Amino acid sequence: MIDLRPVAFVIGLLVTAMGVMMLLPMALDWQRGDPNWRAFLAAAMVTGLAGATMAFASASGRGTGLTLRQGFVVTAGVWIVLPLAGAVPFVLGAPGAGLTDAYFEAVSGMTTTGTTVFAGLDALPRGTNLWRGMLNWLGGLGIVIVAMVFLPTMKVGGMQFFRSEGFDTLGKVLPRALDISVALIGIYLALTVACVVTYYSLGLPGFEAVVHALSTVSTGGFSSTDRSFAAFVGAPEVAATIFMIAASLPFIRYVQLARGSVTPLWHDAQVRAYLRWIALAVGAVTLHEVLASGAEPLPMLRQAAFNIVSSFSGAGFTSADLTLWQPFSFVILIVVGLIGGCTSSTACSIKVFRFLVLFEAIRVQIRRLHSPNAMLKPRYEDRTLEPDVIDSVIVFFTLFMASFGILTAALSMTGLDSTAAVTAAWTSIANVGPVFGTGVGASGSVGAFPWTAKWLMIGGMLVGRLEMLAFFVLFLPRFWRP
Amino acid sequence: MAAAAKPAAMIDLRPIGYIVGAMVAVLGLLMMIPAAVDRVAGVEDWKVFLTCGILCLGVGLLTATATRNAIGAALSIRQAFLLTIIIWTVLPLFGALPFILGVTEARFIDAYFEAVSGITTTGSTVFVGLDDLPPGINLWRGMLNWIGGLGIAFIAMIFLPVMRVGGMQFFRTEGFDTLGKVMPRASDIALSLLAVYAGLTLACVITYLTIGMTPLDATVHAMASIATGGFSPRDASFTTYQGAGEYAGALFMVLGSLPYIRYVQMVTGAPTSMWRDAQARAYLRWMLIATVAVAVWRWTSAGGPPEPIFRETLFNLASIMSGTGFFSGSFAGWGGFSMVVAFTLGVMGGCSSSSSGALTVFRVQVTLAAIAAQIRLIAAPNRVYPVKYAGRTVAPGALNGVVMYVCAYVVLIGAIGVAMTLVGVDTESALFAAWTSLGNIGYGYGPMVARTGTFIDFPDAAIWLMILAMLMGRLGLLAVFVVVLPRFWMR
Repeated sequence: MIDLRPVAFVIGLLVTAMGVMMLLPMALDWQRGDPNWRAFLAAAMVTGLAGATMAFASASGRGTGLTLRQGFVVTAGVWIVLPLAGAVPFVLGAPGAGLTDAYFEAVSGMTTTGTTVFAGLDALPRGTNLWRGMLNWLGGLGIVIVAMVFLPTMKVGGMQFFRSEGFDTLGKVLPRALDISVALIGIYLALTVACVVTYYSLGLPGFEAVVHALSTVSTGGFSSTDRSFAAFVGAPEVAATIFMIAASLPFIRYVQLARGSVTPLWHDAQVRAYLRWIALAVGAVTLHEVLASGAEPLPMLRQAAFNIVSSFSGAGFTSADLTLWQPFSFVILIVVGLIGGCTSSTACSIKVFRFLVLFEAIRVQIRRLHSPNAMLKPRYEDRTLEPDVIDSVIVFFTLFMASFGILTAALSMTGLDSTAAVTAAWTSIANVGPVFGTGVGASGSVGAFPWTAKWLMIGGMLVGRLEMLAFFVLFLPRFWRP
Repeated sequence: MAAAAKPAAMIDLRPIGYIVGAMVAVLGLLMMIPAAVDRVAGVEDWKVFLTCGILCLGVGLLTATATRNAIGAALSIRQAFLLTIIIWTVLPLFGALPFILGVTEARFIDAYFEAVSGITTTGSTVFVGLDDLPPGINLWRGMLNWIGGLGIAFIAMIFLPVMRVGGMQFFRTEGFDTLGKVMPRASDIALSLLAVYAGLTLACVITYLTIGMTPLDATVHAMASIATGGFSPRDASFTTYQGAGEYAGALFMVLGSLPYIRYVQMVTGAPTSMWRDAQARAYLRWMLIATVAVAVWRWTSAGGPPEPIFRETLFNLASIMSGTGFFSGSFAGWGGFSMVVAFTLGVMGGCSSSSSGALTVFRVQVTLAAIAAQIRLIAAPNRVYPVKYAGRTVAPGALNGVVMYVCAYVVLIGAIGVAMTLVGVDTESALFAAWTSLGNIGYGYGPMVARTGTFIDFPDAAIWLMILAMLMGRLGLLAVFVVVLPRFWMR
């Protein structure tokens, strides 16, 4: 049996930290004289106590270092347990949500999905909206650390390719994790502050600037208004586009950038492909909309750039009614969501790296067909792709598509129509955010979905955020045996 | 590269010309059958078939004669690739002639679409008012299905394993151990295959006749069922023959999508080989599970007597999974869940080395095994988990081929769907059109199809995309891309 004490210790500490974090929205509500501050105080005490108890109870497992399997349990445990803590203020406080809705909202926040079950966001207490933004932000930070420290060692979906690269210290599970985490938090904070300042100077009110910055930098997508970015059309859209792109580039390059070398960021094959594909998609959609429905070129370009990037990076803000787009543009929007941003960023979905590997593998496979005896080596940047990397990338891809299909089938069984089922599965597995179809509220809220559909979406968001394999491996009986 | 050391030379096209020429001539001969049928029925259209037949015969014989000095030359792998692709693009050109010159008076693009759809055993149609067409035209459509089905079963057994398309090399050393070279005992295999195919068709015709179909309907439906083609001489397809007809149709569509190599083995003295085939078992199991699930779902959500619901579900799902494309009743009102299941079955498809298309059960099974191995590998990174299929380890080369094929397939459905929306098809119709043409299924679904049940309302560009997708799906995706590589033509 796996020793679960170190796992429980880590999770306990994080839950306590969540409790402490809740004091921020409490302070905000208290300062504004909103009675909702009591809910946050109660929630902070409940979660703080529960977390501390958990940590103390398992304190004997402290400092032993995590094995690979414990790493898996911690990763999954964090994303399953922490939202429970994060959901407490929604139950005790303002929307007075039930367990399903509250947990959905918290999972959607911490997986940086951004789908909401709440309608009437503008009327919620500010503390609640700040807390939603903070859930996004914490989830984004968490995934970057996991993606850089854990996933390469776990060999999930070809991430072992990045083991020996960049940081050559990533060889063991937690050797200099602390160093890396500190550097990451620094960068993440700097990006957030820059984003807040930009939004504020472009005319967003202070509070909106903070919440939207929190969910932009984490590519989360929670907004403090029902209209999402449609409330801030114009310059803020452009700024948000830039920050969403920045948040979905590989953070490891920023660490290198901070140490004074620009070339890694500039020469990264993933970054280049990502920017190229964004340009292509935005260009195609703008052109098509201008030609087919006679939209104004410049506002259309801005709108297309914002919404395409929002879907590509998995943020999930919207700044227009996307169902009014032409079918082609709408399909592109869905497709870029299935690609996703770069690895080791807050972005989700399959990711650019895996597509590059997939295309390279297909190219080599085609050439192998007609010259079966040639020695052909698939390459990424200047390195040879080892067969095990290619295998796991491709298996990841098929598993992603299979999970997408199964989730769609299951969602449609709960009574959603096919458009709603497909986009709900898409939004949860790829952690994007928007859902389209009947049953979706005017503000994009899925609060009216049946509770079974909500739980399925929760499952999908977790599976997608934990990179499929890291989640499914827990269901292997062999995993739990010594 | 080792091969690059040889002196440069273009691919020798003569053996290809010879074979294609001979086939066009055979096609011309076959056109005499609908000509005769129309003559007997007293329809003017028989002259068209006669003219087209003579034309094909002439062109075919001339081509074959011009390239006859290549008789007996064995085919290289690259010639085999090229031959496969040329057959499936050129034969429909000739097969389309009666649609252009005959009573349907189709435009070139529509006629070519119909012929490609026939010969790739897709079964999507652009003709409305099938019931009023002369018997010859409908018979010819069925024959296109039948020829195409026979052709692909033959290619799948003899060429694809050698070409290593999509992991088919797994079958090289299995079953027939004679499949090692491109054309060693090809004619032996072809003969037994033809016998099995014709036998199945005959059995199907007789069955359809006994349950009360008209002779023409029975013949055309039988040819389209065994070929998993899906052309029907009725606008309403199998809705005309609800009841026993649906059960019989489902049975023969399933029989037509089982691995033909097992039939050949059954005939040559191993009667249990079909029953022990891992692929056939999984195919039947999955189809049964899906049918029961959808039938129960429809029954609980809509109610009504259970037997017609089960029958209709069985028929339509068998039609989709085998890639036939007959329909019975209205599929539109089945609800979201049934739709998603049907879509998934269509992506899976029937068994390899049969006339059905899409991914094939074999590739889905291998991919699932690869996923399971990967998850185990993550739990215990230092152990070795070989991927097994039917008790044998799948070699890394074949495994790569299979999984890559699956990925390329998914990417292509997306790409073709996107391209269709670009030329003005709505999202749902575009997705299903990409699905139906790449998987050689034949079902149409979506607002643009709803009016007539055909693809007649699609813009020309979308029709061309569908033609391309049908050919790619039929010829194993990668095989088509190979020929596009400049390197393919250099040596």
